[in-house]
Amino acid sequence: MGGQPNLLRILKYVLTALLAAWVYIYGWAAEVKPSAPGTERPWYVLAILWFHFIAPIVLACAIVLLDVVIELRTSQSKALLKKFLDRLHARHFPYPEGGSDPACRVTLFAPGRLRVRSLVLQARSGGLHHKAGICWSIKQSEAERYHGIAGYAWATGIFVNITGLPDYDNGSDQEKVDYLRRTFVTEKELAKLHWRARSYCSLVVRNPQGDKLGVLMVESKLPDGLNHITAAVLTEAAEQLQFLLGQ
Amino acid sequence: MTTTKTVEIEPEKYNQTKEIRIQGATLFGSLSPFDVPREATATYDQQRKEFRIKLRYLTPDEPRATVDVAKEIVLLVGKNSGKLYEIVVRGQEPQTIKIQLTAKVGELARESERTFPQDFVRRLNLETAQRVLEDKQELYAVG
Repeated sequence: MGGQPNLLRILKYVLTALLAAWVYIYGWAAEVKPSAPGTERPWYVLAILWFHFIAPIVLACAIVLLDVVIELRTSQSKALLKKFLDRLHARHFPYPEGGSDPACRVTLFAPGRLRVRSLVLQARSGGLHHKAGICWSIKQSEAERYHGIAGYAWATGIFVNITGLPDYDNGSDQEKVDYLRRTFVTEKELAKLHWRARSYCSLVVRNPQGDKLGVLMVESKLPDGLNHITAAVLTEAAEQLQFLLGQ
Repeated sequence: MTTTKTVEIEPEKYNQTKEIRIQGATLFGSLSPFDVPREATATYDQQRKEFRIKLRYLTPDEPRATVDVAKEIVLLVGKNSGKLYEIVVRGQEPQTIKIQLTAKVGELARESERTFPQDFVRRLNLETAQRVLEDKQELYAVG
């Protein structure tokens, strides 16, 4: 996210390529002969020959350092995102005794840095499961084999509202099948989820050009817990998320 | 002389929720805040007899494509999303074109249902735009 980490990332790739090719670069430099007898070889050839021991170590250190900087920068923007989701949570689901309702949560998914064709968790309100490894396939969802509600929302681009889901853990077999069908997950995947929410709202965040940036997901453990959440209610949040995720 | 009129579009009123049946399950879908117009601005240039209605979204920089729906009506829609961004009418008074305009946008919505059956954003957006054009009489009072 953001322009600068991308530049850093490009620099990192260039340095990695240089490191990988160092043996060949050194080999080439060792072969270079002076253009005319009595003259010296070009300065860069001499530099390669002089520094050929130390250069790979410096390169490797620089790559590690760049990685740390990139990580710090992106996690800073993630911390901001988390604060934003916490505020959104507290605002729409206030708890009578103060704070926010633990039976609801707000999550942001976006295409991953490495898994670019999957929606991975970027930030989540509250203190639990914010490092959950769940990811929803964009590739499958766009081929109309929807993967999760997040995948469905991403593929169709509409504001999705699913309420009144059965209680999966204490339900009959029929209710379990119904739950899986309505949330676009398989039994195996569901077993890995920490939460079996009973209502969902999901919304795709777009940039000003109309491209998709991520998916905002609101969940509740109550079958009617999200009745007050409509697209209109989330208008302001959508606008702010566009700004926060913008590049 | 050019006259301008801007009206706000209330999302609760114009963004309708649809029941969608998909793979044997039912869910409720509506337009996301990015695809509901927030404001409509009508301008009428009396000298050139040019009437324009612009719909404003949270995605103002999407590339546009033009759709000629009638001799004097041109629609500018989003290149990817198919959302209605602008209507340009040449050589007609706002009041006289009103009914035809609404009908043409409705026609396009029904056509999109046929050509893009899975593209809910396109269809719901055009239906919303049609309701706005039908409802917001102030837009045609610029002439």
